[in-house]
Amino acid sequence: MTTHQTATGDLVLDEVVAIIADVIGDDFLLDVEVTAGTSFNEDLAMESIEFVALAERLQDRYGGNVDFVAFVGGMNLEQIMALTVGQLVDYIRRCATEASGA
Amino acid sequence: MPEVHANGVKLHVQRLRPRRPVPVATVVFVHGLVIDNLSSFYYTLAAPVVDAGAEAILYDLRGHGRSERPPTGYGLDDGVADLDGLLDAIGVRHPVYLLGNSFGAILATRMAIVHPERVAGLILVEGQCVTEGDAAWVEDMANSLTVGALGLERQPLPRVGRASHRKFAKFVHHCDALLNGTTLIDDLALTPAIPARMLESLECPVLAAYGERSELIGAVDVLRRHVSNLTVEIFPGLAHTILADGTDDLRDLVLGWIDQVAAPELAHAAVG
Repeated sequence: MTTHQTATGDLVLDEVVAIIADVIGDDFLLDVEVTAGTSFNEDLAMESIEFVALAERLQDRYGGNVDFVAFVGGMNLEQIMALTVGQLVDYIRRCATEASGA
Repeated sequence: MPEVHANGVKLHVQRLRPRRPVPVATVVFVHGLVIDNLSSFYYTLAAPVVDAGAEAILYDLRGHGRSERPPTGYGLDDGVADLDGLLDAIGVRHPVYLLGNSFGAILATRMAIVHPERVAGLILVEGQCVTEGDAAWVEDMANSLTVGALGLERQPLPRVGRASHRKFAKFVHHCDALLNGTTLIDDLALTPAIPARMLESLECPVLAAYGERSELIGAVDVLRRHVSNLTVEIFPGLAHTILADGTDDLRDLVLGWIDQVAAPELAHAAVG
């Protein structure tokens, strides 16, 4: 996995940004700084099939603790694509917290 | 990305399993042509199907989504061979429910005719019945795709430097590569019609859903004449795009039908 993005110090955010770069291609991100406020549709112009690949990669990374099918199952496509990177990161973090019983 | 080699082509597959150890059924989703891919199901019906206890298998047809785009092999029987090979490759031996949308419904029907042992039931969403009487539709579709292909050839691709242009540029590139860089149009033009007597050979239960204002609504009469175990649902006020525009009603219809049809099989399996 390669990315030109600068690490933010937030482990989950950095990992998600790296996976995004891997899914949609580093060349498209040269002019875009991906932050928690970056939206998948408006800023990254991510295709719906790319979001499927992203979800799968995240599922592989975070395992059974994070149920992305259930996550997207509660939203329609418009709502999903309007998500920001930060909202996705928050969901991952929330699942991890619940899994650890904290 | 989960890639499966089937019938000589790499296909992108998403396999979503329910939390229960034994799924109540397996539903394989088959999407439509050119502008479609598995994501149209991923964000609509797949999660509810999994939530209801079934396994959902979604795949991109060759040339679509994140599957490989070989230069040839886009006829209906190629699609059947791809799906047959895919099920072999992922080790699915039991009969599955095929849910096809638009062209995917035609492909699913063909699959059930050629490989009846693999299909427990058919869910046809806005599927054209390509019988002898409708053969002109294949020509119409090929002509429409050809017009689109010529338009793409003449349309300059937007520059792919900015994110706002990225999605459109990729979409145009995909359609251009598929319509002008493969034999898809020629293959579909040569696709043999499914004779009505073959529809009569369908033994599995069939659920057919159409929009009241769809140009394909005439297929309902054909199905009623030739398919014995048939349930039809017509969505008032909707046209061809009932998957997108009538998602909630379609979801409820599909889940209710699968529950009704699959339940006896489950009881049998539990006893056996």
